[in-house]
Amino acid sequence: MAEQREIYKGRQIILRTGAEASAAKAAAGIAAEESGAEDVELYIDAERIFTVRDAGGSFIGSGFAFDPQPTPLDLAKKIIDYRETGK
Amino acid sequence: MGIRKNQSSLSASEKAAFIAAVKGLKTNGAYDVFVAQHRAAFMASPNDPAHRGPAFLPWHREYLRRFELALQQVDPDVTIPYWDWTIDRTVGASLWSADFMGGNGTGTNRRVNTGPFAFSTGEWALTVLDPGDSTNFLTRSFGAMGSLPTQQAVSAALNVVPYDSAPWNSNSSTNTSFRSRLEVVIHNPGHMWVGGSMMAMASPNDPVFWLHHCNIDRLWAEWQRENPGAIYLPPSGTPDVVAGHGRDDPMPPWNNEASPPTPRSVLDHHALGYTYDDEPVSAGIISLTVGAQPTSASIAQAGEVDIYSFVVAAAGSHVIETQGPTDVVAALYGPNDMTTFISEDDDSGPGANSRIERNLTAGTYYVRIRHYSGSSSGPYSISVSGSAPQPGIQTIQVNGPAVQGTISAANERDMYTFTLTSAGTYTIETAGSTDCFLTLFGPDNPATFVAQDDDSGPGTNSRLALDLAPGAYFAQVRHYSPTGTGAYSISVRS
Repeated sequence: MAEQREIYKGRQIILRTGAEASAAKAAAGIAAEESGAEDVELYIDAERIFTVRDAGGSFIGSGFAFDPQPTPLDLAKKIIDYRETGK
Repeated sequence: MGIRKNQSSLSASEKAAFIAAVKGLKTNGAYDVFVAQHRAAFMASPNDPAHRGPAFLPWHREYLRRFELALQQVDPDVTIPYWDWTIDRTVGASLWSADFMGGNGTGTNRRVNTGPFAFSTGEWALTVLDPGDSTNFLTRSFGAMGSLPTQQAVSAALNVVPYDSAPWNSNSSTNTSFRSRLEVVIHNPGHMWVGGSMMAMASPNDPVFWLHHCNIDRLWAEWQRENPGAIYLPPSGTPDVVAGHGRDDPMPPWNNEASPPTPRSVLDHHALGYTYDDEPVSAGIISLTVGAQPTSASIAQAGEVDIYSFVVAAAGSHVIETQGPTDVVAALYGPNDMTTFISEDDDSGPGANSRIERNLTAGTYYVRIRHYSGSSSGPYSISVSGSAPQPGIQTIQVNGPAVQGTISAANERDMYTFTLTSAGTYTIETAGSTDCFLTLFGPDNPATFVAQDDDSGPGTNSRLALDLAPGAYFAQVRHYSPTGTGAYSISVRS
């Protein structure tokens, strides 16, 4: 699966994996130190979410380091949940 | 030895001193270096040396201690306070007052607008940020993403043994890994409850980070005290363990230092130079000095175990023995690890006393004393003697010639001793062109902190002028810079 799209609470989540993710990183000129999780590119409303994967396989994201999620999509939803609470 | 206090017990002046020291580090740039180290650890995933693995607790113990030592370069009296969220768990807690951490964030951007770390002070702009984040002010959102840990949850975590379990990462069961339970169930929610900046990889941007982690470290120390036989796991070389998480692995980012910290090297927090204000005195570790007179003690109640430590400065034969009418059993552990068993003895001394004789290498050792009978009590005394002199500690004659010394390697610490026969004001100082840092311990105990100084002498020399009681004192000299070396001299004058 190269690209997944999902609307959650009115926000568009785009997840690119594999070669699609690598291509997206290259096209955006993302520096190696900010490349993040291998083969994963995550966006919420076109905003790139820096993502890393820990040794156990869980995902954490920029600004969201202490609630690891099993998948990038779950992580995106958590981030959207948090942003919703501020409204 | 520094005492880390509950933040709720700090006086107004103690709070102000902590804030001033934190801001001092922010001003000189050191604070943001700490923030960057924490962020870099996360960004090294899946090889994060600090989180989601066994070294979570040792890494943060070392990290906090280095931050505390940096604070003490600004104000020697400052220690990191701890935030006990099982008690102070509301938005109205004094922790969040305008004279300490400041309050919750407000508005859609959750900006903190009160207290010493409000952006409007002009003294707290965030410069080290998570990738993609451009928010340069402190943010908080109390309770938006969960609850603070309860006392019930903390008690349950403290009951989990062993220290950690396979697969030694974020998949370690919280039922078989104390580390995982404390990290996932207790620690993570603290970050999430504060919200905002505290949820980021660069979470030390919020100074409450230090108080939160200080409490985590306090709970680990409590667990260690209650489980003295539960050794740090896993040993180095265990397959599939991320570098830095094995017991004797050098911990990044300090792994290129001359004597890099390892999980093992930070297991004894007393040896690092601090204690917590709630540690039970009876369960504390009592320091012994090699060659000193016997220390009187007692097994005050059935089942009590008394714990002692002593420092061997130079390798040689040493004797640990008890005296008195009580049938005690002595067990020796170390070096530098109170869980590494060496020997146990019941009655090799006179009467029913214990006596252990061993060749010991340099390091800190621990002795556990219990009654032979689990239902009996009684008085005893204990002493440690060394058959060889302690060439690692040079003697300074009071009012005598200065003793020449050299910091010949990075992180070297030279120890000296001098004896005062009468009370009075004494000046201990270094001379020369080396930027020395002087720390005084005693009397009669090299682990009892008295005072420290960097540059009160001429140039960058150290000078302590103190009213001292009679007894043996221990002066430690190191270079101000961890990597610095150079020659100096040290003297003691009345």
